[in-house]
Amino acid sequence: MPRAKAGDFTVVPIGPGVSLYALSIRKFKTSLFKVFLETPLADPREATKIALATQILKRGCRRLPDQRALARYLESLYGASFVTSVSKYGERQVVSLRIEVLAEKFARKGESVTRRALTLLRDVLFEPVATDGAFPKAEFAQEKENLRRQLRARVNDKAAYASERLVEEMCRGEPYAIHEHGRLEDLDSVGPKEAFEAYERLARTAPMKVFAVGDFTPSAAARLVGGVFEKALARSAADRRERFPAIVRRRPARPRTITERMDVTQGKLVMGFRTDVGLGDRRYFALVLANAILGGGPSGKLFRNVREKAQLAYYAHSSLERVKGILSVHCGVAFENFGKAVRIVKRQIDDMKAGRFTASDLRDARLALERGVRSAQDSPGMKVNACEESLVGGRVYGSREILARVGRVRPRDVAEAARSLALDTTYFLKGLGTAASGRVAAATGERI
Amino acid sequence: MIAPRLEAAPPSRSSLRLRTNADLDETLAEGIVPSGLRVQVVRKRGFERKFAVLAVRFGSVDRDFFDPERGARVTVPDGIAHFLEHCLFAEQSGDVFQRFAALGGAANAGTSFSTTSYIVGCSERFDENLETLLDFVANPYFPEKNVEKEREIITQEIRMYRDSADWRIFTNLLEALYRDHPVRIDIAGTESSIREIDPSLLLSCYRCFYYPSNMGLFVAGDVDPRRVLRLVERNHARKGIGPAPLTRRFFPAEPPSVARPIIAIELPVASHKVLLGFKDSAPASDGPAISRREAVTNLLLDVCVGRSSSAFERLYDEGLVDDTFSAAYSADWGYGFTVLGGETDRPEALVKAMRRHLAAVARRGVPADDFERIRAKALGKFYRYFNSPESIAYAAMHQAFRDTDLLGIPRFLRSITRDELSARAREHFDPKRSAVSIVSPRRSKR
Repeated sequence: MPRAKAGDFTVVPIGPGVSLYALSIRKFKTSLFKVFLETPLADPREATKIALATQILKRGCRRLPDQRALARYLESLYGASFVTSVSKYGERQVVSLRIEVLAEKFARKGESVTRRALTLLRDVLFEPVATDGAFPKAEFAQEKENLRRQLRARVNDKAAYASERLVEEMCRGEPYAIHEHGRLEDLDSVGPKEAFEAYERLARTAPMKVFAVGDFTPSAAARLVGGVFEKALARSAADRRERFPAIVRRRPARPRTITERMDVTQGKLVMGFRTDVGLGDRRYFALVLANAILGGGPSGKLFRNVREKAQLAYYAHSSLERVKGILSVHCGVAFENFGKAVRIVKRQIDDMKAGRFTASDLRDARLALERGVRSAQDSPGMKVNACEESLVGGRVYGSREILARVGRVRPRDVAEAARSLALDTTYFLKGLGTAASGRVAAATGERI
Repeated sequence: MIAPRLEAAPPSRSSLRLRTNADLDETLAEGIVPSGLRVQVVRKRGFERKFAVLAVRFGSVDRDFFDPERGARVTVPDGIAHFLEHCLFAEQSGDVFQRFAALGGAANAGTSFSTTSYIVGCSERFDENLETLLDFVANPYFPEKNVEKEREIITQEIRMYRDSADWRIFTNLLEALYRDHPVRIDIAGTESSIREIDPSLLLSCYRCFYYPSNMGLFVAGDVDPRRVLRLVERNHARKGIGPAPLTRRFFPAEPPSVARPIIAIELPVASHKVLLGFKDSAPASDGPAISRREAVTNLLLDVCVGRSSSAFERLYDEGLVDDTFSAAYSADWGYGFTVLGGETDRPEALVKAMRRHLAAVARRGVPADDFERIRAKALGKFYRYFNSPESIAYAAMHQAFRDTDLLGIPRFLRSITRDELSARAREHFDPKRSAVSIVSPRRSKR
């Protein structure tokens, strides 16, 4: 019986409202299992509850009720790696639990490392450490401090901080502006009971996708995962139907510039462009190629013009958030050169729109993309995350289809896709000079 | 351009030695071409990515050496190995990144304390990408204009790293631990030291260190090892590479005591971060000894403060550490050090607790069941390297430069004893050879 496919993954139902996405590959030393739980980013405080809950997950489960017991158990599974995290895919907050374990064929006979790894995943997911409908007080307090430190630490990686600030300013009022880890100011008010309730609701009712990559057929994987998860899924909501609002896509009225000061030696420039081209759009692959030509690496126009020709920046690249529809340009640039860098970036974008790039630019970008698709075949983790992202974005492509469609894009298609880009917000992070640390509005008639 | 000194070596067929580890299901092929370059290939059937690392045993610590062409001992400006790495990408016909891009290859490079590595990853046209890699590294082209351009770019890079708390805390620790050994110098140098670098200095370093028997090529992916070896043989035969120069490196004898017990700075960061470091009292005697010491010390650290240790649990529950906590030992010829620490609200308390615990292990030794479990985990983690051609190539380089066998690691790990770990704890966790580095949030006036 032919199975449904999502790109290269085979889709097999394993419980009410839950499907397994399986990929059969023999060449790895490990098997990978990952569960995604999705919820809309609607309210910063709710996001904070989920982020806090995710922190507690790594403390163990009912039968391994502390970090140390959990760590020892993983070590006994040949150093299996177990990671829980929360991410943003489009405008959804996505909690994931991931376990990677030595492939059964390399373990000693009868050890059932695969089943034991899946059982651990299930136990943490459905039975996290809790007493009387709440996360344990002391552990919760500790994880709150850890998350607080993590949120405060965002300022340490200046390039990442600048990128986040761009999103906060550019998408103010949109769900996308909410950080996947929530908000510092909400931490204090969230208690162990409401965090637990939020998590419980998520585990029982949220859309759930389970991924499996390893040396097994999709049917065998579905039988194993379905068997391990059966009782827990039967106790959950019968329907985990996706009820997500459409992604907010806004055309910018007039480009804004935000300037912030911090004690930094190197300035950070981030420019955000909006596009209405999504994963299902006929211009999608042309846009992906446009991003690669622009700022995909050392052969990109940004690297060549901002770094090599003008020597303004140590790094200059662009990235495309394909679900939300934002292309951002990032440069590390000396403060006095911001204006010049912005002008050069704008010129590269204008060149793209006018089709002013060479055949070898397009060829190099195509090759880089093809290499990326081929490389992903060697990384189970990348394939899983890419599939999840595509499912959230509404359209999944298999590797063969990607290669075929990338191969058919013509220069005029790239220019057309580039013309969908509209500059929304420019963000500068510069040094203190004589001003005190803090946020300072720039001139040029904008509001902050 | 390097002038050929001898007739090109006649094309010969170097022999390829194959070693297999059946449990691991991996085979390593090795050969040495007539020019002296050692080549190792791990074939990964079914993998799309192919990865090649061409590595030179020249890094930031190699600042003091006898230059045979000048006939004199020289000291070169800090940061020159890294500067040379940047400059090598320039070619007479343009920049080699473009050439790789046209072949679908992603090239990059990095400089560490002891090694400069040039890498290319691709999924197709591997032969051409490999030829390009071999060619550009063999072509020292350092026109003045390009050197100036790279000076600007590296200046930006140095400033970027100055803003990185993680980088600053680490380099400060090395400055505190080491009085004289050049491992205490920043790999990229400083804005002023790189101003002293000119084309002739770059060329001198190139001549003294970039020769095949001081280098190694490490390849992993679905490639035929025999083809790779033949390709390298032909490529080097065409170049007419001369004999190895008689470069001699000099290193100061590092005294056992540390330079400063503590270095503490403030940066615009959100929370404190602290690192505690221990330096080796004497370097390991040879390559295999370095590898053994590295394996033993990392197992020891995992037993002491790893995620499953009672010490980590205590520190975590007391709120002294979080998930940023880590511990690792690294070493190369002439130096070795342990670094442990992470973000914390109470740096002094964390240092005290770490010191106390390590001293306790030094006194009491390592428990048997902890040791066995941690060793089983290390074996599992080793298997996982083989999921990635990139990891394999780097791991192969790492072992080869220590004259040890990559595929022999499982057996080697099994040969380590608990007593070795306990003895190492007594020797290494010596407070007299330790130092602390702290980065704290800048106290703002507002």
